[in-house]
Amino acid sequence: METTFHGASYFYLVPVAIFLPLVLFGLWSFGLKDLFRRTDAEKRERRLDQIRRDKDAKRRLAKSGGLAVRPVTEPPRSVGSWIGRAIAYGAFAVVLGAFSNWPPYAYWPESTGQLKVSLSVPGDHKEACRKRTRDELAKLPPNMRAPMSCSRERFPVVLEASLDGSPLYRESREPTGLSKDGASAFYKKFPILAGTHEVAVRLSLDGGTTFPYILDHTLAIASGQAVVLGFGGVEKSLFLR
Amino acid sequence: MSELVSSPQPAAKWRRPFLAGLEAVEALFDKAFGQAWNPVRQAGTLAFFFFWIAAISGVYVYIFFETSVGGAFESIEYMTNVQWYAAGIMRSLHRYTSDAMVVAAGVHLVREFLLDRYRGARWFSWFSGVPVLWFLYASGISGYWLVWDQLAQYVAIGSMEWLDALGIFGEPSANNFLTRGSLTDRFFSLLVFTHIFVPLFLLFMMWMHVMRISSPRINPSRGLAFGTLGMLVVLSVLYPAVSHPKADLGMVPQVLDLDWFYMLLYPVFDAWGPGAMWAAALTVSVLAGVLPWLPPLRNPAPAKVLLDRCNGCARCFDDCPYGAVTMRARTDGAPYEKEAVVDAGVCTRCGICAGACPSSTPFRHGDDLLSGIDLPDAPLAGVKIRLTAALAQVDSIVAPPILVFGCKTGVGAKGVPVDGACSVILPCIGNLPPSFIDYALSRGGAAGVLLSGCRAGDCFERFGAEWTEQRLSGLRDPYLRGRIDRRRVRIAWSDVATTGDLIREVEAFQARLSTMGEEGA
Repeated sequence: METTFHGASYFYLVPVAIFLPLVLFGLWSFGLKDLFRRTDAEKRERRLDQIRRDKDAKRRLAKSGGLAVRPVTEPPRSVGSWIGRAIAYGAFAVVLGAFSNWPPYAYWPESTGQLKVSLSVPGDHKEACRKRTRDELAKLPPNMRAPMSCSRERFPVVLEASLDGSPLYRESREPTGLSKDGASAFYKKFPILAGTHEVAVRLSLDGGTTFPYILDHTLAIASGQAVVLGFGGVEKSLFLR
Repeated sequence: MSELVSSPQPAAKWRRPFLAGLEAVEALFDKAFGQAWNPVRQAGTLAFFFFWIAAISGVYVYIFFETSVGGAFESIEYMTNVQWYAAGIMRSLHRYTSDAMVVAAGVHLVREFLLDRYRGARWFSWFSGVPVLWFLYASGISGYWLVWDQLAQYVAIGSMEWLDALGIFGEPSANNFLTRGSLTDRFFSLLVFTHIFVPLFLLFMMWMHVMRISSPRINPSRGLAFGTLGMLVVLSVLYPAVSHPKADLGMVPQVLDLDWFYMLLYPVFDAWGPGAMWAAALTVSVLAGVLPWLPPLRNPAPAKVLLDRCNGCARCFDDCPYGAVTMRARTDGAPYEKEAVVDAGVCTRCGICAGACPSSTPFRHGDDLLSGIDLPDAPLAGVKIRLTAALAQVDSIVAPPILVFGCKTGVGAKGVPVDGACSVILPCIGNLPPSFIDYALSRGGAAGVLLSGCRAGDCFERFGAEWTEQRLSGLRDPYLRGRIDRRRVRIAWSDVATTGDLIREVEAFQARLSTMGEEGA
């Protein structure tokens, strides 16, 4: 049984059949009708035609002699004007056609790949969590008796990366949020020459005091290839993907 | 009453060379298109028209569009290569029309800025135009995401990186494009949703943009509409839009064919970074938004109603192009039903209301010329003084004296350097009551009166020229009196695009009047 209509599945035609009339009605109300109905100028002209048929208006118009309402200049009909219009439309078409996809833009250098650093990781709490005492728990409302008490503020996260022994990137990011308790986010892109490189990455969650997360990786990157340096996964580690 | 005889202020000096350039460009298009179809003067209406084409073509393309990450690109390729005769053309039409809308909006913006049509009561239209541009760009860019080719990958990641700089998301939204498999159908559906609803918001803002204008013109002339639509269809057939290779988040696109109409700032973003781009974008937007209030502030007093001269005839109400005049029940006990009220916030000080007032006659004896409604900074009493003084200085021996009434933005704004001619400049030609023509001919000593204004179909105050034509033809109150010899009155805005044209009109008029004199008419 045929389930498509000229390449379009019937399934997708159902919302079109439902929403298309609504969209068309909206467009019609907003102004599409003006394309099909008479413009205000045409309505005025028709009203003037009716007025002109009125006797008084005829009398005044007769008295006005050569000052009848003059229409706005009609478009010229000479060969030169047709050629001029053709040139104008043609030039506009050329401009549209050309600049809609030309000149080309060299976005990324040739013979290079892209290393994209993108990670979002919360730093350690500035104060270590501690266990609440029995008396402290008793003072709290029953629904707020969490056994551990942790400060909200977190350390900034520090990320360092080097490429073939040379420093490539070092950034310290403050935690987001008004209480500085959100994750610290890193996002940066680097052009990397195609080939094999030694990448070393260190991540600190306590403002740079210690770097518990380390990644040393031999990276083979092709021209135009995109590689992502991130953090996460089941084992919560740095990765290159 | 003070004898205020100052003329309306001319354009600022720095603006004049640009205005001259704009006039030259418009004159060029006048030659090919005629004043009725001139696309430069109808750039705003063309932007609306292109929106409708983009909307209709977009609906058609959406019928065949697969809204999943895996199927979007293939569905676009199907439209482009298999159903090229319909969906392919619609796709190309959608793209090129969107680009054309950027061009039309840009021309419209530049034109309104150069014409100084953004201050005073016009601030709302200008101010509302700023979010229109933002939504226009958001609409176009979000559309490019949906193709899900390498260009879409570049634009989507760049856009997300730019938004992430605001720090409003818990996780960077660019992480949705990190690796192969990161982008889910759910997030892709969000992108599709964005491209449907942002253009609807754009339409809403476009409506806001014109809502404070009475009888806004949002449709181009039929001929121009058919011409531009035909041009876009031909372009779509001859040069169909094609996609880049399919997006691959494991690769980075190296060379891209950007749509420079929408993506001009992306290379700048790559070079400067998101923070600098946000600062630049917000600075430009704020500056653009406050432009109506930047010095020099020119805010002449709005039209003022003199109740003792107002009989509530509502002619000013009928003629006001901006709906600034309303009629309400009488408050001064006079034996009339209504009185006119001016909304100062909407009044653009064009003076068309004064031109419509039957009390605006210079033939009164014994008192100052006080109209039922008038401009305090450019009163009609001043016009009477100026025309009398101007005609008194004309050498009527050289040629029949011609009085030219012009407007501050029209062709004759700088006067007419012709022997035997003098000019009086008004805020708008619609500010001229027909009785002043009668006065100039019967009492002022003019042999002829020539009315000059903006180019045909382009009245700065929208209806000044049209109302004047109707008043002189006896089709709109107040009429030009029947006793006036119509051969001594001439309207000169059709086919008069430059000062040179106006000079030739005046000279031809003088020659005609001389002939009439010889004929003993």
